[in-house]
Amino acid sequence: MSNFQKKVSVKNFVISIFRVLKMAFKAGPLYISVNNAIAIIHGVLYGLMTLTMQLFFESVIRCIQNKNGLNEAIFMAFVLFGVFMLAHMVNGLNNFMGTSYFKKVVGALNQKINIKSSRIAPISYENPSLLDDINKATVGANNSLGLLFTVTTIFSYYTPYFLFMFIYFYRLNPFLSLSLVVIFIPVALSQFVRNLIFSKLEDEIAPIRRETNYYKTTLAEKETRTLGAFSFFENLYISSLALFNKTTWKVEKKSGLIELIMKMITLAGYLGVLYIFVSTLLQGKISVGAFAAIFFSMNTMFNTMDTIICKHIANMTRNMGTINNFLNFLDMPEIVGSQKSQDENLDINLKNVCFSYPNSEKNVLNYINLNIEFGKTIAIVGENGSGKTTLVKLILGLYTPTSGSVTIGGLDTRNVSLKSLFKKSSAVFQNFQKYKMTLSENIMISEINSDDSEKMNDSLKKAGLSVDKKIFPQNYDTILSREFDGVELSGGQWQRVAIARGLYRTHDLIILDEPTAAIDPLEEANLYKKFAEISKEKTAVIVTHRIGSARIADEIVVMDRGQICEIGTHDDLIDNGGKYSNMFLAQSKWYIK
Amino acid sequence: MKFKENQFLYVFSLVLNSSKSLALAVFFQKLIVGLIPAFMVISISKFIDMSLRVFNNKLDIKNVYPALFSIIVLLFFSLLSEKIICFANVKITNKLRIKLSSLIFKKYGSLEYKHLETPKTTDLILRCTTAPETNLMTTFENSCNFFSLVLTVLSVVVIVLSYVWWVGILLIVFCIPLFRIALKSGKANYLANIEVTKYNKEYLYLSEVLTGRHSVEERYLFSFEELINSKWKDNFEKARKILFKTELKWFAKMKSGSLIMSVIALITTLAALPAVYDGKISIGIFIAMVGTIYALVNRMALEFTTLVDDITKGLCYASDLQEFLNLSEDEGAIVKPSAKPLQLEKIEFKDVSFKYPNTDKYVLKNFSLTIENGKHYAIVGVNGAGKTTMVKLLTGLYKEFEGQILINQKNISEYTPAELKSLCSIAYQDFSRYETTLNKNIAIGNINKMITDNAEEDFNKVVELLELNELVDTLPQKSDTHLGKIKKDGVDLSGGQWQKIAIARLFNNPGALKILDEPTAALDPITESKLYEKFEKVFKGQTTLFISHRLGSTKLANAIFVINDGKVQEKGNHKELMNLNSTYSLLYKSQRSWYD
Repeated sequence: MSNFQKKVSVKNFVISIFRVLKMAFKAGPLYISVNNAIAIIHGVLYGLMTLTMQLFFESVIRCIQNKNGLNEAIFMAFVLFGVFMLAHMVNGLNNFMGTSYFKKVVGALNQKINIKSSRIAPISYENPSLLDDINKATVGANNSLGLLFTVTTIFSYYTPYFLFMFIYFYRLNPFLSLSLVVIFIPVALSQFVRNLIFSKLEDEIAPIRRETNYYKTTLAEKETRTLGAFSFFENLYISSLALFNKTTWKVEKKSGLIELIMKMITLAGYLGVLYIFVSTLLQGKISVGAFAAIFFSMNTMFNTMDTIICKHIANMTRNMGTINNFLNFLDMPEIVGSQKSQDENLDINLKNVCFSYPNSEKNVLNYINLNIEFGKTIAIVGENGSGKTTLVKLILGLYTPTSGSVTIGGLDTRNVSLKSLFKKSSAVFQNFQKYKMTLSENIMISEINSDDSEKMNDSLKKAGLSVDKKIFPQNYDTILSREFDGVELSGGQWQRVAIARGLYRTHDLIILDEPTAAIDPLEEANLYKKFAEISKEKTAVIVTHRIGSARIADEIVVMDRGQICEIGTHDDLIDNGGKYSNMFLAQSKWYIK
Repeated sequence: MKFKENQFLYVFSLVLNSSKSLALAVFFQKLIVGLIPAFMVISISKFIDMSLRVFNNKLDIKNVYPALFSIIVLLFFSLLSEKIICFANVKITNKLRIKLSSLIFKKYGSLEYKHLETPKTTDLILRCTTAPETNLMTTFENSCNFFSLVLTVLSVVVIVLSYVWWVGILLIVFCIPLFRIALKSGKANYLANIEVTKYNKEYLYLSEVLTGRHSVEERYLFSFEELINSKWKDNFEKARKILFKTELKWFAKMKSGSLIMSVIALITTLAALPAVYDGKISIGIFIAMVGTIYALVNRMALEFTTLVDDITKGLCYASDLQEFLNLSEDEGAIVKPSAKPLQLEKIEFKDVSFKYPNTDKYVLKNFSLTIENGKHYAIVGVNGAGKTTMVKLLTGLYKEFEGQILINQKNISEYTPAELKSLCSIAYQDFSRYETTLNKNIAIGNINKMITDNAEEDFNKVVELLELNELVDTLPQKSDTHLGKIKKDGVDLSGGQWQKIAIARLFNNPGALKILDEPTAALDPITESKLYEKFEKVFKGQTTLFISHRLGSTKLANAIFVINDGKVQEKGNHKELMNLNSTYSLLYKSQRSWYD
């Protein structure tokens, strides 16, 4: 059950449509007004085509019966041609304007999502069902194009058309106007039935499809080849495929039968309409010309009604789910907080901090008490899963504690805006991003308001990356991605870019989370020495599981299962003979034998 | 034009091959439906004429019934036959799926490995392997619809011809440019979409940066959303404007087509007027003809260009498919390793130089080393130095290189793929996380034994050896638990847990040469240390090759190779290399300095 599934009611449906319409209007008010005006003309013209055809046929019959020359008929032939041509031109204009305008709206809506994604609380992204909903929100923004198209065509094009036809029929013979109802009922009925049944059927097929597709991906992996595992996966694939076919046939048989029955009901509707027209004709209540004109537009009317209900409205109801996701995403609470400025001395204080991830009761951090004096270098060590990275996110202020408090430079992370908290902070994250952009963009992205190439060069130097023509053919403008026709960097080179990125941002506090995972050993040592230098006047928090590197720190925090089990300088902790000492010996014994 | 004919035939032959009778049924249904408008003209004309006579000559109403009846029958057929033929469509698609998808699957698995590492080819593969049967069936249906439409037009033209012969000629003359316009516009749309792909990829990527969960930390800390969003907007607008221009042209063409058709309708009407005035053709025929022609104009305006567009797209897909099926294969790709693993005496790389296809940089340059049975080796070097590439050559993934690779004094090319696969047992740095059960993930290391009864015994042995009992016990269905998310009750494991599974897989593999590529990257120090101790015990007497840039483990090795810039820069045991006072020694000392 997604977080966003509210009760589907007509009221909510209408409200959602209005909200999207409002956003669309703002994106291009002139465009939407002109487009709607053209659509109305379009609708009326299509109705006029039937009327003109009737008049033409009647004029022909009159000419023949009165034997007074063909001039009237010829004139009407040209009028008919004129109306047809005009209708088609307007049709083209309407469709064309519509498509291009609606795309603009989709762009505007997507931008709303882009910005909103940086305004909701960062912890939201740890909630898997919320992630799903966020994905659906993007789909919803794109589906809004269909929604807009449906609503505007129904009101501006189809309504005038059917209104015209209704009046036209009524004036010919009131009994005829009944035919519109007869057209409407079977089509609406079939769509109603479809809505009830088809979503359930799709739910049956989706997981089988996913599994079948998965087996294909195993073939892309080199291990599958070297193990000779092809036939293993082939068997799984074939049985999955057979199941897919079986389920598809079962589902399609059901839906095919329903469609057939629905079409028979529509056929009954057709026959009903035909009966109405034929009987009025044979009773002499309408002319042959009128009958013929109507007969030839019967197909168009049925198809139009079918298109509105079965295509447009169906799409709308089917996509309403994702469109609601989009609107609900925009309604998500944003992180507010006062803008305050931090103290000169960026002391960091954690008091009784406990933390658990959303939808989980287990505490990842338990009663953490930690004081980091400004200017000190702290190393955080511990086994995988001990809570190191989570602790660091709380220190930074990215996440707020479930209980307890974290203050940075005197500001409590729960009350203050992220902008204030991050003003003097920077980081090199464990999963630093490899942006598919130029080298300079990859570095300067950490401080977008400055454009300081001297500072950039300085950070690159400190990170130990030289801008060699061989590696970076377009210098700083080299795109770092083969996908966008650039170059591929090695893991180590990327790590240095990430370090340069972190250093580029002006900071008094820097977090370094496993900053040398991809760096080779020789460089690693140099890099850590450099870190020690760079962070002399600043606060640095280094997370590492290379125990040896923790020695550069003024203080080492040892984490174990969400708690701080030891804290002190390297020498203190070795003397302690506790966890730190064990970890140290486990690694060092390979070097000292 | 030639390209299109080939693909047309290709699609038809594939569909017909999978189910001849059903495909023909679909084809004929569409053709018959195509003839209905012409028959309808005749029925309507008879009905109208009869109705006029009923009025004027006071004939009995019963006279209209035959014509009315034929109208109803035609309606019945045109509306219902489509829904009935749907069942045939599904059956054909299912049959296509079995035939085609299995073929594509096998082809995918048999491709030469180099194709899987070339981005353009992987794009092609992705396009071709996504719902091929649906693509083909849709193209087949659209083509049938196209023929049906053509038949409709032709049959109506025949009727017009029989009454006003010279208009018929005019019609045919006008139709040719119409067809031309439609065909050209289809291609233009397709090309424009390719041009737009570049911008689409760009802004889709930027969306991921702005809304994805992996970039959350940097996104909030650096607060770059405004900047990236304006980049997004730029790319989106560029794409939109390109499509705008193309769509404008498309609409212009489509509407000029409608214009031409409307003119044809006008001319036909005017030409037939004198004939009906003079009684040469009945009123019924005149009305039926004119009405049908205008209705046809409406239909063509909507259907024709869309059909041609869709068919062009479908044919481009078919050509992609042909290209995919023509990619070079590797006969050894799908074979299993030999049941009796190849014995190892010696492996020699002699002056091997290698660069990846379509690149300029040599990853291995005059690379030479020797591996002897029963010894432990370590390969050390900076990232990208060619260590993994060496393994790819040894396992036969890439076959074109300069120099020689000898296994047991024989050239590597003289071994069958099965033998090569049986030689090595590898734990890759980017090992596969198969979404199957835990025990299968480990058993798959010895594929030949996977189905035998002893498999469970082997599994238990490995679990004990690697102390995986704790992990197994925490899982809901123990070792039968599905890993990954394709099954409803699947479980996700952490990076460290997966690493242990990869190592278990290696232990299960009977290959003589054990290769471990960065086997402890995701593990914490204590687990790492325990693992190295275990390796020392378990692999006593076996041949092992450790690839790592952590030097602690190299102490176990009989010989260490230091690789730099594609070459073996230094070789020897730990003592010898320390005495050389070069790269290795520096590396080692700098790492050790942490622990002094």
